[in-house]
Amino acid sequence: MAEVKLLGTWPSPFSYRVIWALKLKGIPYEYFEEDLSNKSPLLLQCNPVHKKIPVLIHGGKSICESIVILEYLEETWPQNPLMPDDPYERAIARFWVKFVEEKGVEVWIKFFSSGEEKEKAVKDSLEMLKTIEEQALGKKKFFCGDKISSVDIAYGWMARWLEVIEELAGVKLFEPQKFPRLHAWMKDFEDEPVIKENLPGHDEMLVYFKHKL
Amino acid sequence: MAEVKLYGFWPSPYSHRIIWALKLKGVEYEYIEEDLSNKSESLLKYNPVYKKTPVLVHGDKPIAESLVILEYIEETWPENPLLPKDPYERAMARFWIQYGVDTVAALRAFYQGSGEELEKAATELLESLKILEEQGLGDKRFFGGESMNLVDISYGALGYWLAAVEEVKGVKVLEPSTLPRLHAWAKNLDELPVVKGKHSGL
Repeated sequence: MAEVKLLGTWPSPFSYRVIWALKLKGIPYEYFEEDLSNKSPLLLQCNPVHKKIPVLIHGGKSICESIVILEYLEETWPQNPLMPDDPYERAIARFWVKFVEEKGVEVWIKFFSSGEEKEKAVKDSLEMLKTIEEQALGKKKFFCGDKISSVDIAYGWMARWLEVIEELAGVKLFEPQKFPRLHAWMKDFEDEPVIKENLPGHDEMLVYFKHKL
Repeated sequence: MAEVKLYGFWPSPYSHRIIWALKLKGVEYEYIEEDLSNKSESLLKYNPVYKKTPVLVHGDKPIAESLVILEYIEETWPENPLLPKDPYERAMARFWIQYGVDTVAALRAFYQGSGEELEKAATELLESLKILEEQGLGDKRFFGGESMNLVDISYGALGYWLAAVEEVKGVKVLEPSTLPRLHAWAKNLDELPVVKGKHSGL
């Protein structure tokens, strides 16, 4: 079995997506922590286009972009599937992954702006949460049913990172009573053993991101 | 065989992606042109999240977002495969498709810019496309090798769309002198029966 390496940074949620998938599938791997202010020759060699993490290296071949990596892991190690079997359900899963990829970034970046731009970011984020609450989650425990899937992994940053962003930006976006399904999902997601054991600490993250701002 | 319907918008390259994929796979479908200034009940029902085209409806099941639709088509009609078999090659294909998503901002800036902003946008777009040409396309005829695949489909509109915008802006980016291989790719793609004449003059 060719060896698997993961280049990542703590506490990037994109890094964690890949860690969660690797652990859920029981794939042994070697982790390398990257210093993004001083990128390693390996990172630059393996991701010459974007020079970003995460990068998965499997038997010497590198794969970049967290969602692309998730699809690769699913196809290469089919055990403990992270995507539904049925093509239509897979399409719905991919739709919701795309949704968070498109809308979620706004939360990260624009929250740290000010004035009108920040107000708009808050408004857009609330709409995003509303859509997820009303149309994505339904009555299931997780996005695709009773088990964690790639969709949950893609939304995983909401489980711990969202509250850190809210604190740093001084914005209270997520209220449990307004988003009961999402709130329940966050709890269920964090309670999953693999996730629970692989989440960065809230306080450590606050310190880390405060430093960066 | 459940029927296939495609809700599209003729000027939109995103709709064309789906048409090309369906035609390459020989899938029969009914095309419904949407008036985006007066969206149909069906569109709003089938795509409540974005209310946009294209939407594929298979049987009574709707799928929105062109790249999601392409993956669905590939899985549901495996004949004439549009993605490589090998998982690593598939990952590379998906990487370059994603790169195209990231390039939209550069294309938009070029489309909307004027004066100094336009020059800057043109330079940045050229840099983006250079990477695509050198590392994505390389010396291949198509991104899919000898024939087009989902990556070619995702970039398919680049040739004719960019040519139309270049004419309007009076600034050229995709030329034989600046991007020889990508320029040749766009020409080759335009000659394919599936693509040829499938886009109206913009």
